[in-house]
Amino acid sequence: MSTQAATQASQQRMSCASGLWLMFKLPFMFLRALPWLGEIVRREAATTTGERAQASYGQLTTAADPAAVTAVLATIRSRDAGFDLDATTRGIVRARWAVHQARQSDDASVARLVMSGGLWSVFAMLLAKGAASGVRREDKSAVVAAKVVAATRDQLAEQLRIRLACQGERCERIGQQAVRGEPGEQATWDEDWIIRRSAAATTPANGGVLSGRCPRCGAALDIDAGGACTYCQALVLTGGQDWIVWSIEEAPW
Amino acid sequence: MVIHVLHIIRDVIGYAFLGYLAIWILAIAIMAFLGVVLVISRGSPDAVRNVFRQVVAARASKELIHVADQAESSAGVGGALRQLRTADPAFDITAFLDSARVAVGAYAMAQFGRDDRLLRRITTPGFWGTHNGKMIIQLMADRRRSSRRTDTSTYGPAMLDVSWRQPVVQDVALGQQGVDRITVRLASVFVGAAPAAGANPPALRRMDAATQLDWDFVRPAGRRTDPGAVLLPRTCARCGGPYRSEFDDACPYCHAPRADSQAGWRLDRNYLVVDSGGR
Repeated sequence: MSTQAATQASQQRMSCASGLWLMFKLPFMFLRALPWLGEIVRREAATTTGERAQASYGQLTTAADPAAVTAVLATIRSRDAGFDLDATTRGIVRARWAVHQARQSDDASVARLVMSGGLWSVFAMLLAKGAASGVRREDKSAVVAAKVVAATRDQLAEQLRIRLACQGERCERIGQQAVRGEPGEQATWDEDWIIRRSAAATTPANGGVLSGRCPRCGAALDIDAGGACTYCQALVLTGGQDWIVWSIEEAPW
Repeated sequence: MVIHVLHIIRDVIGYAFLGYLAIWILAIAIMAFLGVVLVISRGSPDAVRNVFRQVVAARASKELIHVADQAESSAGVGGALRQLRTADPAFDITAFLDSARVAVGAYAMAQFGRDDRLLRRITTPGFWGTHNGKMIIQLMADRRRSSRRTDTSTYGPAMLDVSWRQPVVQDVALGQQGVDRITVRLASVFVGAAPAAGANPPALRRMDAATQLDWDFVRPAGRRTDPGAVLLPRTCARCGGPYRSEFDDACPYCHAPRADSQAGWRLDRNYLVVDSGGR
């Protein structure tokens, strides 16, 4: 009994001493922020956070004027007779499925065949970091509608923003805690899938990247570690020859 | 003699106490200042935040921040891009912006994930002398100290998403000071989760942040794009072995340094962009 009391007293003294030591150190810890005050102020001025961030850049871009979208699509069709918006949209839904599979399996290579090189690099890094932090994504959703909400074309590139209306449930957890979404809750949301290609590119006869074909040689798309078609060695995921998934934007959740 | 020594000791203790008191006062002033800044930037109406941003934009060095209305005309940029394309027919703006996205991801990995390996491969030596480069160096040093103390394997918030919004080529300068330079303005959106302070049991809170930056990419003037090298190389040029991740600096098999990539463009510096009109 006396041993227990002595141990408790010793622990109390230790915690008291560490509390006093912390109090002593506390002002010095704040002083460490002194060289960074200017940086903190500048960063606060340049950054929006929390719900404001979601309400500004986090939101999906407002749909463009439908007449302007129609005009750009007509220009694309007049230049590229093989362009088929329905087939392109189906290709995007297929690409979404590949990205979904990659997230579920924590294997970024599954999405390699549909994303631009840069997008895939960032996607692969995020997946690896997320897995290291224990992030798990649960997603049982389907695309119920799709619509082109913006289309641009200049001398260098063409770009379509296709808004997918999705339905189902999705959630991201770390351990048992949901950090995004509500587990088991049915919801509808929008995702913008932006595809882009060079202004000189035309739709390949076999459908191209979004149909799982090499836009140059027509073989079933299979790329080497360097991003080139294993049959004809063409770099197919740079957007120079065909549509590639250029960006994926989700409404805040 | 003894009394004299005791007086000296008393004075020393007194001065030490006064010094410690001064440090507390300074610490409280810093806390109060940061509190005011956070309340203004995060909890105030837009009008107040805009005044705050205008003050920061007016006072900060142009080496550190850009103001949102400082933009070259789109016609001027378009003309310069055409000139670049004439001199370098393999240059492709889509591939260029795609590699700019990798820089955004690499910067976020260094800033939030405390992993600067990819950023080191795609930046110029000059980047590490800039303010933001030094900040990353400081973060990495903090990480090393933290890992020695706590033996943890993960640092910073868990990263849920990093994306970019609305990339726009702001400026193209060809051949100035021996380099071609392209400036891209975009907003990088970060979504993460970090342990909430003081929560028991440990709970995670969401961290959402959107920051607008200008990114300067450079390459030696007159350099031409190699059409076969527009992406980050994923196999070793010497032995053909595959790299295991984007973070590999050297071949895991023959240990050869990873080759230059991004078609020769490297991140030279980036600037925070303050939108004083509010967003």
